[in-house]
Amino acid sequence: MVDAVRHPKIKILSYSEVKRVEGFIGNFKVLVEQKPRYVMADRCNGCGACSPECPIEVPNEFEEGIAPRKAIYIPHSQAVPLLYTIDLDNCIRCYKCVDACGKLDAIDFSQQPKQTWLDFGTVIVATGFDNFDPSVIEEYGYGRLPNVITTMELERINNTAGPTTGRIMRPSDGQMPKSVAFVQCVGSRDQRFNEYCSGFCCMYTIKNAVQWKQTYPETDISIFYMDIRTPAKSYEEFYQRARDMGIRFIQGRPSLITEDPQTHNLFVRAEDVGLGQVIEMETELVALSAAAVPRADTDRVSTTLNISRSPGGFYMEYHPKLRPVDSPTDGVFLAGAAQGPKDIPSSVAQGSAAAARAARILSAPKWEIEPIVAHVWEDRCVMAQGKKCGICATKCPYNSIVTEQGKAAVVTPATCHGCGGCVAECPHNAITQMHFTDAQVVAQLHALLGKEPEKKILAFMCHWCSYGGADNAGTSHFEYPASSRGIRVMCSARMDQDFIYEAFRLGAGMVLVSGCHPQDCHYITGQRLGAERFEKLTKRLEEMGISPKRFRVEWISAAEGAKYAQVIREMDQTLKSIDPQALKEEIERVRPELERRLRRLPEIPDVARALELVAVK
Amino acid sequence: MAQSTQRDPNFKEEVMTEPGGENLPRCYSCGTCMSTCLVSRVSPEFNPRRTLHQVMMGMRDQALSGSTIWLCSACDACYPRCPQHIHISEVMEAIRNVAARNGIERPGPIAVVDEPACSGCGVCVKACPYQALALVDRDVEGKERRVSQVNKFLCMNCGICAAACPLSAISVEEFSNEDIAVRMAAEGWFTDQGPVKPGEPRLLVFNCNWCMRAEVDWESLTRFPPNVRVITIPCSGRVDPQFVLMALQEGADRVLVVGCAPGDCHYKEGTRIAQGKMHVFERMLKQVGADTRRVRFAQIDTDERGRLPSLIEGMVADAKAEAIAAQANR
Amino acid sequence: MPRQKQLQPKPTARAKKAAGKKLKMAIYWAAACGGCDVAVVEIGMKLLDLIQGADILFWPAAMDFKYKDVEAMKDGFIDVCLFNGAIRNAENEHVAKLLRKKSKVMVAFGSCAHEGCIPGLANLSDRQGVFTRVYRETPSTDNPKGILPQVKCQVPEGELELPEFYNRVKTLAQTVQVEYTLPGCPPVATQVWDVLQTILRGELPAPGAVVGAGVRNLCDECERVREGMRIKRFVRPHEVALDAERCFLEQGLICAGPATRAGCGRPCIHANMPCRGCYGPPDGVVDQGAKLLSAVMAIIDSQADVEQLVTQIVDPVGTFYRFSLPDSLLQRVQSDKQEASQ
Repeated sequence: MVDAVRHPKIKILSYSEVKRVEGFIGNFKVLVEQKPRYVMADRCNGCGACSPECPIEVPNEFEEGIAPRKAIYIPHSQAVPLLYTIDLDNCIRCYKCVDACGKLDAIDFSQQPKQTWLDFGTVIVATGFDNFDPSVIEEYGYGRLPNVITTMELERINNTAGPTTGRIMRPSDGQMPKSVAFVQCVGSRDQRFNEYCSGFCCMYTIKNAVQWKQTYPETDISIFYMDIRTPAKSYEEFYQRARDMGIRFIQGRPSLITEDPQTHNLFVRAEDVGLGQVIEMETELVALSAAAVPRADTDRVSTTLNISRSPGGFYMEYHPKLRPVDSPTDGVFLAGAAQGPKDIPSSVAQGSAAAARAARILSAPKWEIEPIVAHVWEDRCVMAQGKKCGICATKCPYNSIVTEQGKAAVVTPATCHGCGGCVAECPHNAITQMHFTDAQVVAQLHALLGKEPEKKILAFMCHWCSYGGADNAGTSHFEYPASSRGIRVMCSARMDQDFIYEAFRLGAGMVLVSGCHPQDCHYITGQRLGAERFEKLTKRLEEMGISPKRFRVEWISAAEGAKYAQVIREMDQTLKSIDPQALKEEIERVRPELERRLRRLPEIPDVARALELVAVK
Repeated sequence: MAQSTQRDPNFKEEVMTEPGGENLPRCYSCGTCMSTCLVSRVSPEFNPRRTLHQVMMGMRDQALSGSTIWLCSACDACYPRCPQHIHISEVMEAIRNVAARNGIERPGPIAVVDEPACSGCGVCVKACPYQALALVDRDVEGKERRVSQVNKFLCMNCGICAAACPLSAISVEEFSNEDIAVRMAAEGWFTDQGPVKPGEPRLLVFNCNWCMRAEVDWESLTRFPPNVRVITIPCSGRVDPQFVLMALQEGADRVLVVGCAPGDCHYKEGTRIAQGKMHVFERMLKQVGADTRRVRFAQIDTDERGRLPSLIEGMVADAKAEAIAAQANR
Repeated sequence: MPRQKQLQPKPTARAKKAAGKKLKMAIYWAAACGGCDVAVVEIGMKLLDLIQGADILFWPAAMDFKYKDVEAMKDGFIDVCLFNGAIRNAENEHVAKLLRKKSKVMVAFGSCAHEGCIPGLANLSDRQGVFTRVYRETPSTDNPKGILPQVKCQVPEGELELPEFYNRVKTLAQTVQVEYTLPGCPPVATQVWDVLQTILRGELPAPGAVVGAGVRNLCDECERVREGMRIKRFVRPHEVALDAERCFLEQGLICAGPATRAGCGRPCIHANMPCRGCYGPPDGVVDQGAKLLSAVMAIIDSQADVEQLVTQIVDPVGTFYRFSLPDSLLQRVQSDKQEASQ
């Protein structure tokens, strides 16, 4: 940290908050609020004369609340910059600190928060994690039984710079415990709290145990675990070392911790699965290895930066294997535990990775983006005519569309990823997607369904998953009948209901729409848009009189070639079981309704032209 | 040793299709259920973790045989603690259903109906927390009558029916009315020729089998002097107020009835039933002007250490003080 | 206690008649309402059959008999004495003992003699409490000097005597030896005639038996529909519209049927009121109130709030021990302790 603060090209804005972020990759505008310390940065030298005079003591956040700090304080002795801060919520304005500061005169109660707009090319989110509060696990007694602490609290107790200067003592009597039991997976791997494994607890527990055992070898140390996870380099050897030192590992998750009311010793009850017997171990101290949880402000930050969160609540990466430090928003990167619980080596690696990814952008004079972006026809957008709409903006997974009444909607090309959802959702057909226009798709439909359409299955496929799946079927030689014709779009969100109406109007025997599985969508929420639309469409088609067998919705991934082939085979079999005449007649019956719904299709720019071109052929 | 060829690959599907069995594959054998369960204190072979694992491994014979699957009383103490949200008592029930379908019967004692004495009033049918009783038409001593019948697959031998039956026509083995009366009076406990020293107050305790977890507390019960007599019954719901009256009439100075905390009953309903009975009973004692200190109903938290021993000590001390005061007043 | 056939039959009434002798019977009322005597009268025309085989030597409720008539009899002169009413005062006790001496067989006739019945509920208080309430506190009593009954008192005409009012109501069997019990408040006429016939024929079972009633509980005879529902709340008859087909317990009314001896023919149930327990406990039950409590509380609904539910039972002793208080274990527990401390 000291290196960082001294580096000429690094500016640290401490005690500050990001309030708003606007713009796009390479061109971010960030509103930063510097909160008042009530201490002048250019005068305070971190001498610490003020702190002893302050009469107010509150729990010290850095010391996990087990030690106090004053209302005027530094977070810890290695804080960078080494500046004191006044916690005004707890300060009683006795001004003793001012007296103590004396000639330096560094305290200024008149300071105000300062907001500044700053320009940045990229953003890296490395906001870390928080600790799970085990008091919600009643059977463990945290918060109720004095000698049940968290391992993080033990770390502070163990630390020579901590509140006990490294003397290990237990809360009830301040004595050094002769025995200790660690409990793993507290709040992790637990359907009631957090499903995930927090990843670092096994190692940090073993570390604490080894440290303690090294210094006080006569201490009886037990670790209650379900699995010991020590996968990285040298980790397993460290675990072996712990065993060699005589630290006891008991496989069995404790179900209950009770206390002897006189001695405040604890009884940890668990089944020792290795023995197949329930044991109740008396111990003088219990340390709970609590889960890592996302920070409380994760919700706010993800909205501010427009990045999404994974199921566990940590920020979501673009791709878990291939782009682990990119967020789905271009130019915003993730590093460290903010992206998911991880230990120091992994966090450092991710930090370097994120920096490298960011550097690519900062060192480039220009940045290429995908051309398949959305584009608004301003003369068709009803917002420009003063009407209320804005539907496109609500559907965009990337918040790339800005709407303002009185003006046409505006798409930010740099943040548009090209799912096409806005295009399909716009009720006034006022947006198009470059290279995947309505005209292009309609022309493809006309070409594919020109001859004997009632014998064909028209399959709409999303590029990332289903098209890949169809491809996979081909390369893997999963045979399927030749009755299918495919149209590729980028995302199932793009599959406009008009396309399906048009396909039936042209007499298609069957229509398949296929996209990614919900959790796999390349455009985060694109598949959900498509799914909702198809659900309504299925009902509507049935109401109109198209037999339900003719329209099918499937979710097929790029690896599921066999599934794609199977689906086409099934649809083909069904198609062949119906009399083609019956299919035609059904379309005839439904034609007036279809044409009614499609009456505005030719108005879309270039659709009329495309239809002409196809008809010529 | 379990050979892989001896395993039944369909067994786990069979269990999983029963209601409650769906989440079974999630079990990662952490042992939380086993260490929560109180049954293993009484039946050491009972191990729900092992049973679930046996099912997943297709070890059909091992899982279906023995008493394990029949001992789970669905008290659901383990369910809130299971980190994988597996409703273990439902899985046990699922395995039991498979066993029942295969003609395997519950080993061990169940309630027995004395049919000639039974009137078919149906109180037991309503009282049973496991719906293990039903009224059936049978030929009893030459007459067609409606009497109660025990479903041997469902009966947990808790004895709630035995206390509920107004004709005492149901009994549970080892805990019939006669058994309890004999235990109360054994060795001449109520007399001056018995083990109780003259002048020592007599405290009779009815405690349930599941109300304490700590082994050290159970041991302490055996170390009280003879004037404290502890009768452990399956469930506080088994306590019939008639026992309490008989004990008081025979000479007990104090009677303590102990059950589990509300919601924690090993047999679901027992402690609630006992609570209702004993609260009304105490009001009746007050109405007739009897000394209400003579009878006490306590519900204790299983996990709390030392509670019952200190309760007993308190009551004995109380009775002694009262006796001394009475002496002084004469 | 099951009915058993006698091993050595007594001489039949016919035999006696043949020998010129009719059965000698006495009917007496102690602390009673008179209902049991009415129950005898209610056998109607059968009274004529009764007096064919029996001479009623003493029945103060019906005719003008005097105590000295009984005192003049030889011991054991009376064959059967039907004694109804509880033992409330010294006169009741005196006559019970007198009749015991003069009778071969004593029958505790009706609930008062059997188990104390309604007078027995006075045992919730004592003599002082009863007198104070009756003679001083009741709103309609005009007793400005607060005079209470005395055993002896002087009046201008001389000395008056009243029988001593005991602190506690006792049953007949708690006062003298009793051979048979005929339960009910009152016993129903059909059962009364049934027992009288048995007596006339000399076919009474071995002493100690309950006669004129069934063995099991009232539910044995009750045709009401039981669906298996548990009690969600306790109500009293005036609080709800009573369903005439369904089991009362399932409607939330405390019906004493499960803990009450069968044999009455269920007149109350047919009148759409729950059983109150006047036939006393069935075989195998030591304390009717405790057993009824045990049965009723075992069937409360699993979702109901127990604490709230028990407050809905307004008068536990009056509900569970309405007829059986003096005969109950509860009574004995209280009495023993009281006597021990006196």
